[in-house]
Amino acid sequence: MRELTIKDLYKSYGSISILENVNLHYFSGTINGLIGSNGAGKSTLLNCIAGYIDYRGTIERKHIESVGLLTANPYIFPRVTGHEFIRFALSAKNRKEDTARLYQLNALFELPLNRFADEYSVGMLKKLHLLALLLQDNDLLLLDEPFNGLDILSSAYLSELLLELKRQGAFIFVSSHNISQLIKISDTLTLVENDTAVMKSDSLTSIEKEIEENAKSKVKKMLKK
Amino acid sequence: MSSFIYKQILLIFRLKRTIFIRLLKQMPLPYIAFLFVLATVLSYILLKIDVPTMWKSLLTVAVAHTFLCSQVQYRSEKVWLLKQYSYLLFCSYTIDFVLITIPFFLLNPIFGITACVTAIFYAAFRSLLLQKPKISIVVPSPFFVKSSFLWHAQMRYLIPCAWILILIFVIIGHLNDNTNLAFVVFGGGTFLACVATIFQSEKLDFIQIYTDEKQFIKRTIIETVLNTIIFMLPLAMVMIFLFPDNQWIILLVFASVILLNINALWIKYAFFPAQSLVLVLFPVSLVFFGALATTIYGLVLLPIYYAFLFRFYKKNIRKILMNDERIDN
Repeated sequence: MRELTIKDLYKSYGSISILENVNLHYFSGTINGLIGSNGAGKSTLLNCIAGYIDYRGTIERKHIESVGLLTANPYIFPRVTGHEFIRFALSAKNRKEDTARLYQLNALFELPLNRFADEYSVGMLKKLHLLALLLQDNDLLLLDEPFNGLDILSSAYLSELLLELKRQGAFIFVSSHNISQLIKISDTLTLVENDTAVMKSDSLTSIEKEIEENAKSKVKKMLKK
Repeated sequence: MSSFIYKQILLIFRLKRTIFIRLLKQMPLPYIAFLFVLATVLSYILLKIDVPTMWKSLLTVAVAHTFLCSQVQYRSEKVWLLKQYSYLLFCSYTIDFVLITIPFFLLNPIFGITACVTAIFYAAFRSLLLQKPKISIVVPSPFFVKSSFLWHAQMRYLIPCAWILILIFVIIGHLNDNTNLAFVVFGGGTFLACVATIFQSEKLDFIQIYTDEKQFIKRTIIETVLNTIIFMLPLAMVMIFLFPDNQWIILLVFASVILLNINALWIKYAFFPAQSLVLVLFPVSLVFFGALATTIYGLVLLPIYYAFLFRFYKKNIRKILMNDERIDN
């Protein structure tokens, strides 16, 4: 079983602290949702987990060799077709192209793989990167705002796909502002707020209610003024 | 491990080659012909120049090459993508930096090898370099007017350093009775500092926030002239104080730098956002300026050149703003 243990994690940008004393533990075969307000540090936490930025503390990745990260704004090389990008992403990870699986997955995303990817919309670009990450069979999948820019049908497909991958034992992290969608698919929810991160694995719907109540009382207070 | 790095280099090289060929195919033929002629002429000039191989010239090559490489900036999204794959960021930087060694190879093969070594070390340094923090603290710079562009603010640390260095060299020139040193550093240094600031790349959004091209043109010219004056005036006053016999030359240098900065500004926006084209055309314009300076006809040709450039500049800005309106609709 793959495990991820975060011990005494600290991360700051200059004098501005983002994460302080974060201690968390996750297992494979789960989807772990990350929620928090804008700039709270969700992407930073994902980047720390991936090991792409420096941090203070320890992040133990047990039996995790390859990590796939879908960034919030994925990059695409100019004048490269979708298919060529996928081939590139697979070769760069030393993986062979499984054409049958590619077309099987693309039946879900419906991407025009022979078109230049720099002509894709934001949603299509996300799907393309996701497709490449799924074909890479990474031990750990980190998805930063994967539902942003996706149409309703693609969002539903993605949710189902992630659930199916989880059943097959995948280890997935998903950050999103869409809490209802996250609750539907997540086994745990990690709330990143006020320089720290707290994980909840039961009564996830209560978090959504709590946020709604909080918003209601704030709006009421503001209107009274 | 070395075979894996070789494989990654080959992979990213093939990708870059494909992109280059496809981009080249999209370019109009006159542009390709022009670039080819320019490259041939530059190569010929570089082959003809004879620079002795000394430790000083090798050091200059290393510094010049590192400076050129530092101008290669990847978007953060691209860095995140390449970071996902082992050694790919390093390989990508290495290929780009090694390509920059070509002019040094033409100058002298030993210079080329020196630049290649610098390329590999600098690529390793850049790929290990941590990402810039998302939140950057904005320190106001005394060298820029309050509402300057963000790309001016990007130079807020380098510009004051350059200013202090120029001042130090001017004083050294005065103490050693070396007028040439003081003038070269005053003119060349201020010109390079200002041009490096103007050529900082910004996103299209920075143009698209303007309602019409007149507003953009007015704002950019005022800011360029004002920023140049703020940067140069104290230095010019020091120069006049130290070299009172040459005050007319100092004023001429002052006016020339302002004119050259306007030239840089208009060339940048005449071909915006094609920065690679600008980096080729700007040195060409400098050579053209040099040619004009040798003839009396320069007095007539210079205003014509500026008028043409302004027309291109205005047309391109209008095109960018019109495209934005189309997107909005």
